[in-house]
Amino acid sequence: MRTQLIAMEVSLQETPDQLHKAVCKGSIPLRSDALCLHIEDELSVYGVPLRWAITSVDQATQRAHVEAVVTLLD
Amino acid sequence: MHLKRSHTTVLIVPTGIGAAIGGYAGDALPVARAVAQVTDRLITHPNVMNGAQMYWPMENAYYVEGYGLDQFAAGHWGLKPVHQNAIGLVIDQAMEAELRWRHFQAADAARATLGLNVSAHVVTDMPLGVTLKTADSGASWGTLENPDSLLRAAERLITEAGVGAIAVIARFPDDEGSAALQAYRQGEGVDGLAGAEAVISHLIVRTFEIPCAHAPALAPIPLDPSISPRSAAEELGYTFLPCVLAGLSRAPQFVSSKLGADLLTDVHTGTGGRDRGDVHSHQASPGIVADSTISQAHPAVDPAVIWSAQVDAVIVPATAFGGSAVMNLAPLLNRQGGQVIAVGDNSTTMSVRAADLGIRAISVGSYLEAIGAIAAYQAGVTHTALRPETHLIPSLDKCHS
Repeated sequence: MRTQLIAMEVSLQETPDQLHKAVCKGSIPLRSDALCLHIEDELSVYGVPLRWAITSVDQATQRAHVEAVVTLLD
Repeated sequence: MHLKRSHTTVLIVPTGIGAAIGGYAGDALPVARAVAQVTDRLITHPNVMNGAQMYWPMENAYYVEGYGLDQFAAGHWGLKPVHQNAIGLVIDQAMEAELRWRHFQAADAARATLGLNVSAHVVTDMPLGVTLKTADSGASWGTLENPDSLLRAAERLITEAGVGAIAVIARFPDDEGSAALQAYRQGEGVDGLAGAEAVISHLIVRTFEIPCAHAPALAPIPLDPSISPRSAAEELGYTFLPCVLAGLSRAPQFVSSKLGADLLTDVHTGTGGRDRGDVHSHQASPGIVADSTISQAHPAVDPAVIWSAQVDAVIVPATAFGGSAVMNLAPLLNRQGGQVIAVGDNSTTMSVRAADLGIRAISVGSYLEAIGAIAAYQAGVTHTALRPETHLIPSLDKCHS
């Protein structure tokens, strides 16, 4: 196993089908708990999420900057 | 007859983000002590409770490692209070003999003076290889060269010694007087060790689902008479281990169950209602069997187990809403009339405010005000009634006109 630091951006407005139940009624932005799932889903591309945080949000572009540590199997 | 149910508060000060209060050496512990007086159950984490050789056990405080807190907040895990945990020590092979002995003696001291049950130790079969990093945000992070060695050591303690909690002592890189260390000792900047510490404890909690906390092992640094009181707790000796052992000795165990998720779903879907009282009250919910036999047999319906659906308030620095725990708890509290409290004067290197994520929060200037907001809630008083302006009741009709 290895640990790796990741930085990435996610949209606050994406609404994947699997999250439709958790999206605020009638609004576009993901609710924050749904956004957690979305971030962990995005991080899974890099490895298994261990620790992450949104460190800033760009309101103009509706994108969040995320820093994370993931684990990867050797 | 007093029928009020227990009030539960989660206090979060994320580690490694330069929090003005809680970003140094146990300097959020006074906040925890004060908050514990206005809530029945305080759930918080090692960064808040640990002050190296300083600690303050509280009967109503639950010491929950960050990964476990995230799982609790998401409704995946419950917290089962314990009378005591047997603690196992994982010692990084990279530690020099003298540092190793200092930590053994700290553990022996905790056994002899506090009566703690430190029951076994294992030295890792490889050096853990801690590397410290600072991300673009200014937060400290870290990685391990040999995480499998850490997990093998923890597994031996669990399977061979039957411990219920793990304290890890890893050899961290010595700092020869960097500007970052100087700033930290002056009560400024970011704790450069914190991010790596969190990675270590998260790995164990994620893998074994038991309490864990970490104490870094470092060579003593030269005396500096000018250090900040906020950083002073880490200047007292050879080890940061005592607070970790004290915290772990009563840390709640994790209960992982689909039933826990079902309880949360009941609340999410409204079937649990605003009465987010004890799990007992949820046992009457559809799909949850109120059977005392099952209650005893199944930890998820044990009334002593605490679930996120029972949280009434979460307190977070106003700029640090981007963590998993608060992002999961806040929508739950927003829907159910609980309190999400954003503390303005606890500045951090983050810049994620509640409004950025669509979270409704009570903005307060300080922890003093946060404590007042909880006291008012407990008294049945809306916090807005304690401010000089009282606005007209908003009309929902106007929103649709």
